[in-house]
Amino acid sequence: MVTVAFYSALHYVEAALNQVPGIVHAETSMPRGYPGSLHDYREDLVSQHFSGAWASYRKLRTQSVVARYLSTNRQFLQTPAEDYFSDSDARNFVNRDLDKVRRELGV
Amino acid sequence: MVTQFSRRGSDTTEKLKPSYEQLLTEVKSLWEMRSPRFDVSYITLWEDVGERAATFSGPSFTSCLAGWYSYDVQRQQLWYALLGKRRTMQPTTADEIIDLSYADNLSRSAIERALLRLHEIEFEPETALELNVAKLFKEITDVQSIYTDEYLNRKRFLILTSNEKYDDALMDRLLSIEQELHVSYTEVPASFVYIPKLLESVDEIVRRDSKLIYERGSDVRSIGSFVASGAERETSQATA
Repeated sequence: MVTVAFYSALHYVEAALNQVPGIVHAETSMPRGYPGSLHDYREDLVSQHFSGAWASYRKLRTQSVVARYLSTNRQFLQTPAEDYFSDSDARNFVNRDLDKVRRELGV
Repeated sequence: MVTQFSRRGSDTTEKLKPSYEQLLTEVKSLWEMRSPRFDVSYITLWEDVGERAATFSGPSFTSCLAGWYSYDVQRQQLWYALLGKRRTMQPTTADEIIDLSYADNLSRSAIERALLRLHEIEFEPETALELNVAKLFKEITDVQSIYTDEYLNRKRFLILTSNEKYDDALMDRLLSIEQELHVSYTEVPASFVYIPKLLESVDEIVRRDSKLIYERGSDVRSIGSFVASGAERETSQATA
C-alpha cells in the first residue's frame, strides 16, 4: 500500500514540476553529475519548490523502501510488510500523507 | 622524558602526572565552559584521546582530530592533519605527547592553548554535518547507531532504530531532524536511510567502508575516530 502511495505521490510531484519553469520533468532536468539518485534529485526539488509536501513525500519514500525490502526478502528477511505495518498505518499513508502531498502541490 | 605535572595555582611542591581520567575531567570542564554548542562531539574527541592514549600510537591519536591542530611541545611545532593523516609527528605516541604536554616547562597551559585553538577551528561543512547528525539523532532513544558513507557522490547516513513495528511518531521526529539538517547544510548533498530493527546483524545492511559515528550504549566514537567494528563490517546496500 505504501509503495502505491509513494509512486502516486511521485507522479503528483512530476505533474507539479511540469509547471515549474526550467524543470518540467525531473528525469529530463537532472543535471549531469548531480550527486545522488534521481529519487534524491526529485526529493530535493520537492524541498526547493514545494517544501510543505516534503515531509509527507519523504515519509512515503522511506517507508516504501522498507516495505519493498520486507516483501521481497532482499534485505529484511524475517518480517513481512503486513506484520511491520498495521492497517491503520496503511490507511494513513494514503488518506493523510498522500493527500497532504497532493494538497501541498496543488494538483 | 619528563613526566611531572605542576598543579597551576597551587603552592604545593608536590608534582605528579595526572591520570588520563583527570586529564579528561579537566578537558571536559574547560570545553563545557567554552564551547557548549559542540560539547558532545568535542568531548568525545578528547575521550578518544584519553581512552586510546595508553594503548594506541600516533595515527589513532591524530585521527581523533578534525581539522588542523598544532601542538607546541618543547619548542617543536607539531602539526597534525585533521581527518586522520599525520604530517609530522615526533614523538610518535599519544601518551608521549601527553607526557610532554604536561612536562614542567609546559604544564597545563599547553592543553588550554590547544583547546583555544580547537575552539577557533571552523569545520568543513561536511564534517560539521556529521557532528550534528550524531548530536541531534542521539537525542531520540530509538536511534541505536548511525553510520555514514558515500553513495552516488552523496553523503549518506544510515540511521538504525530499535523499533520492530512501524512507528509513525518516531518517523515524524526523524524527518523533522533531517529537514533541519538539510536546511542548515544546504551545501552538503546528503541522504538519510532509516532502518528498523528487523535483522539480527547490521552486517547485512552496512557496507564495509561505512563509518560508525554513533552507537548507543557504548562510548561514542564520533568524528574522525577509527571504529574498527564499523569499518570492518561486511556490506550490503541499504538503499533502493
